[in-house]
Amino acid sequence: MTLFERYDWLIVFLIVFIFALTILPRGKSSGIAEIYYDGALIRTVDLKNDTTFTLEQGMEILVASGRISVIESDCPDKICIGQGEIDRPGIPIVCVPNKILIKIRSTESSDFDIVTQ
Amino acid sequence: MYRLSKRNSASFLKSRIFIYGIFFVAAAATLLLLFFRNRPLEYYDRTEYYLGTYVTVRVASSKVSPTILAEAAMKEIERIDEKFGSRSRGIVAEINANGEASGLDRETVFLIKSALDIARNTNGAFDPTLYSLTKLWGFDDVASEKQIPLDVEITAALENSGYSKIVLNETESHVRLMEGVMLDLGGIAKGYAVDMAIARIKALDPEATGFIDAGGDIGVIGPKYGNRPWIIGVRNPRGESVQDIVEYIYLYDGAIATSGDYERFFVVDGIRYHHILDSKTGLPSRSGVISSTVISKSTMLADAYATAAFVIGKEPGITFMPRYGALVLLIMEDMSRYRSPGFEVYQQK
Repeated sequence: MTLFERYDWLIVFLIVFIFALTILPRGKSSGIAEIYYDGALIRTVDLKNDTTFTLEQGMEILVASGRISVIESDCPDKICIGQGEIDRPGIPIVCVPNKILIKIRSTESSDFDIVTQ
Repeated sequence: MYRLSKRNSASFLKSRIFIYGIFFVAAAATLLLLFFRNRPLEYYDRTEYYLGTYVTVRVASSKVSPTILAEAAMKEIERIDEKFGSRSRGIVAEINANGEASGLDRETVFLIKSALDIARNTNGAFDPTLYSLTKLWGFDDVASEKQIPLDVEITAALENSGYSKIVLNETESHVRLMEGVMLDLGGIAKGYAVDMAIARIKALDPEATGFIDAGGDIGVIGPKYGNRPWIIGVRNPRGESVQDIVEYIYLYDGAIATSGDYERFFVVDGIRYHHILDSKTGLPSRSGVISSTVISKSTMLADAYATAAFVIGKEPGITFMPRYGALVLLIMEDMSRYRSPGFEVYQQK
């Protein structure tokens, strides 16, 4: 007989797992998506407002319930559509043929808050 | 042997109950902690088009919903836009149409007085009477045709301008425009709107933090998360992108504004004609400055003195600016910098 039997270990494992889920640092989302064309920022999108719009590079973008996704694209392999919806910084949606990159602005990434011009 | 085993199994049972007891207490404590812990401040952004530019309010508060604060700020900016934002309607149009006005409200008197004070302090480098000139060059509206006016046109427009031709009687709330001069509060209304919107937010929650950005004129509501400065980038005046930054400034409070020759301009024969006109010559200012940034206590002052500093340039007059509460950063044509004494304090983290 040991201190923990099989089911006790299961419970301990579950507790640790749930705890880890709540504690693990997650990339903070700013709720703002940035769309880059050829490396230059062409548009920022507030993910709080549901909308659809078309980019002149031939892509249709959907913003719904805080997530952004590509729903239509004229590129040959539609990988961008396959990337689905994103709402966290870290993994951008990329369309190489159209040179479009969509990423979620991270609250910590920029080295300035605002620009005076 | 049997007895020992039995006793052991009993103690195992006890220790198990003990360990599960600890788990239970820990779980309860964690839940309580999560429940009662202060939620981290989250900034709420709202952007709307007012006063000819995009105005962004970023605000957080631990007492009042930031949505309500942003709403109050936008309402105030909308009010000022309706009152002072246009030359074709509102109070400025009225004054210009009649050449004089009496029974002005205190706010209008304050704005005209502020504009005249700054004009006097800068010896006309900031001048609220240059509308005819601005219109002549086509800088009055995005849709207007940009062109180099004839010399005679400029001379004529100069005769109808000059801040000294505005006579303000504060005690009688009366203003008179002499010799066909036109009043233009566009140069300070934007900054004033930011200041007033911040005052609105502070009235609802004095501890609120954030900033308001009206097309690069920035007023700080309060430090980031209550204790960190807002990091403000000065745009590279010859950069391709807004995100091309040449200087960083750290602001806990106060305001900052920048005037640059890249905002509105056209190029003829390789010469850049920009919208910041020199009241002495009627031509785009040629002081060697391509961007001027001013830190001040209010956005209205920062904006107006940034325009003035652009026109004055590195002339001796620039050394008077800190006297009026304006710290200056000039970027010259060769990208060299001039800083008022004290400006560097805001560039240290």
